[in-house]
Amino acid sequence: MPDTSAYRPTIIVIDDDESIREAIGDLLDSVDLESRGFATIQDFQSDTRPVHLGCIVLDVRLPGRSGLDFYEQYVRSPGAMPVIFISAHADVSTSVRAMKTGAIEFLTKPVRHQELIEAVQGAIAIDFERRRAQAEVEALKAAFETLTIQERRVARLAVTGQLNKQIAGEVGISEATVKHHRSNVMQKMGARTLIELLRMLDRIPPTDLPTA
Amino acid sequence: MAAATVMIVEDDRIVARDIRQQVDRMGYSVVATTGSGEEAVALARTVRPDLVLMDIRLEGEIDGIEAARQIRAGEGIPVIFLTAYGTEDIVRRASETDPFGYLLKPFEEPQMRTVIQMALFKRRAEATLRLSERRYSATLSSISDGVITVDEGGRIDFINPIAERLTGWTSDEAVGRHLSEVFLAVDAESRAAIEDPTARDDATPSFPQDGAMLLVSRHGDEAAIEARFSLIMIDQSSVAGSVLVFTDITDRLAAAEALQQAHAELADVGRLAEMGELAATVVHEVNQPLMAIVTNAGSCLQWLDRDPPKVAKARTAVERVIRDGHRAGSVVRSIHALVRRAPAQTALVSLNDVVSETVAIARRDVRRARIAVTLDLQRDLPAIMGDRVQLQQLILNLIVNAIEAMEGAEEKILTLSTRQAPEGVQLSVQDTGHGVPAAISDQIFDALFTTKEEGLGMGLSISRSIVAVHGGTIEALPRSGGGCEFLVNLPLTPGERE
Repeated sequence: MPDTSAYRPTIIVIDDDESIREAIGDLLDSVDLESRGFATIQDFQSDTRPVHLGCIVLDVRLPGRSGLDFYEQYVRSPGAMPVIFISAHADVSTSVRAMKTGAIEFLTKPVRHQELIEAVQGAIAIDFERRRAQAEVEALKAAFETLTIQERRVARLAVTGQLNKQIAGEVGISEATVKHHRSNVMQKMGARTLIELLRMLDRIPPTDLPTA
Repeated sequence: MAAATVMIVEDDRIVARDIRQQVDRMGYSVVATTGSGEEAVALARTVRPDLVLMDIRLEGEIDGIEAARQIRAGEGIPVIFLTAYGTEDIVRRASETDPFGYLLKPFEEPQMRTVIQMALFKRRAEATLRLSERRYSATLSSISDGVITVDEGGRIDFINPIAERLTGWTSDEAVGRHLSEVFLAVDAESRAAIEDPTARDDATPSFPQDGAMLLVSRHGDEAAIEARFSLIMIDQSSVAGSVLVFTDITDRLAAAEALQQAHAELADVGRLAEMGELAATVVHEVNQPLMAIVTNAGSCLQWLDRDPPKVAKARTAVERVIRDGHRAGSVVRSIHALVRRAPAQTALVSLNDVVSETVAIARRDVRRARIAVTLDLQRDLPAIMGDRVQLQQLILNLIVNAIEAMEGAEEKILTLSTRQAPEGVQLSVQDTGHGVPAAISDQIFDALFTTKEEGLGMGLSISRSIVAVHGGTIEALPRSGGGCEFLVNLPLTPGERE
């Protein structure tokens, strides 16, 4: 499991006004947060440097592609970071639309600096949590991949609460072999109890579960 | 062509028969013969001969000269006098009736033939001329231009009905008078009399054009006219008189003015719309530096809160605050400059008109907000020098402010009133809204000061600029019974610009 806390967060600031980008960058710098400023969404999208942890601070009214249009597409992409919207004025319909699609904050210019800092820190925490959970799922998937076909079948039947005898009957192996597979499954997955195994299997999206 | 008809007036029956035989031989047709002057006049009317041969000495009430005069005047039939002798008195009286010839008794046929032929020829020529004159007179009487013709001495010999109406003189009164008595024109600007065109030696005087000339009638009425004057030449060197033709262009000028007015109003609507767009731009343009200022100030605090404080970083942030503050200031200044730049269009305006127009513009918003509007405009308010569009903007700002102030209020009445003030005019805009706390009644006119969630605080600030440009004052007062009253005092002329 990769340790995401090892990465320094990076905040993406997208605003067409240079002095605002500069001001937000400096504010984030004052709380030891690294940021990258972009004048347009296109500039941000053509940036190839990876971001391991962070969030996006986005001006709703951007020239070219509207911030909201970009967001509605971006939020569905895998690995999307949390987005904080900044708007020139609290346009109700815009903010409702943004909130519905899951923007974590909607701030109105001029923004109180503490609010912005708190929103950014909150967004980083959310992103951290999201990435950690994602990493765990990846680890579980990797562990599950190490199971043999028979071990996978035994594991899936075991978590439904069936007894070894029943499993043996269903799979067509001896009860002793079932016991052996179960022990292997618990060891390979790193689960100490049956409940723990159940939770692990639940977290792997069904589409990612290799079929027996 | 049918034979010319002749009437013979001769009281001597034998002489009459002789004449008749002679006339018959010449191939003319004698249609009537009489010995009395009265009968001759009556017959001329019914028989209408082409020619009358008239003995001067007749029995009865009237003699041949009088009968001839009546026939000439009534039917215009040419008369040839027949006389044995002519005294000077008779010849003088006879010539006044415009006779076509004399025949002395005893008549010799060749002489008689020549005189009759001459008379008939003259008669035809006269008829042609008379027809032409009638046509000309009918034409001049029915056209919509005023026409006056004068003789070579400048005396009027013809004036048509339009010219009668415009000058106030009837044809009977005007004919025979000098043109300068009847046709009085002045320059519309200077009111200097326009020189009498007949007093000039050169052929065509040039009159002021495009409504610059006013015709003053006998009764003192004035009409804007355009006039042309031309000489009637008999040949290259002699002048028979002149014709003055003039057109009443009052309606045309009014139409042109209305059109211009419509254009101006259109332009005004455009300028108002521009102001609205401007406000939206201002929101964005001022908000951007504000955002930067607030954020930089926040960073500055953050840097100072560090242990130890990062003074250099804090200083940089403050420098940015100052820079962005100036940027915001220049945006606000440019708005005011826009407002100030405009009064190139200063003119006399009626404040009452501007109030009514603006209320009309704002009607939709007022209705939507369910506000009752009361207008109390003092009549005969003096006009002031000002820019109408700016004044509209001023009043619109005050109306919008009142609409917003009355949001959620129980009673919603907007009252606009005007009255004459010691040094000009006064406009009062009252609302029944939430009122203005005394503490901020001065601040409300500052740019960017607002108590509203959505407002930018430019409206009242722009209003104050407009009032200042017009040399006036504006103040906000609490209204008795709740709400607020904005009092605008405007002088008649802006006086010294700031």
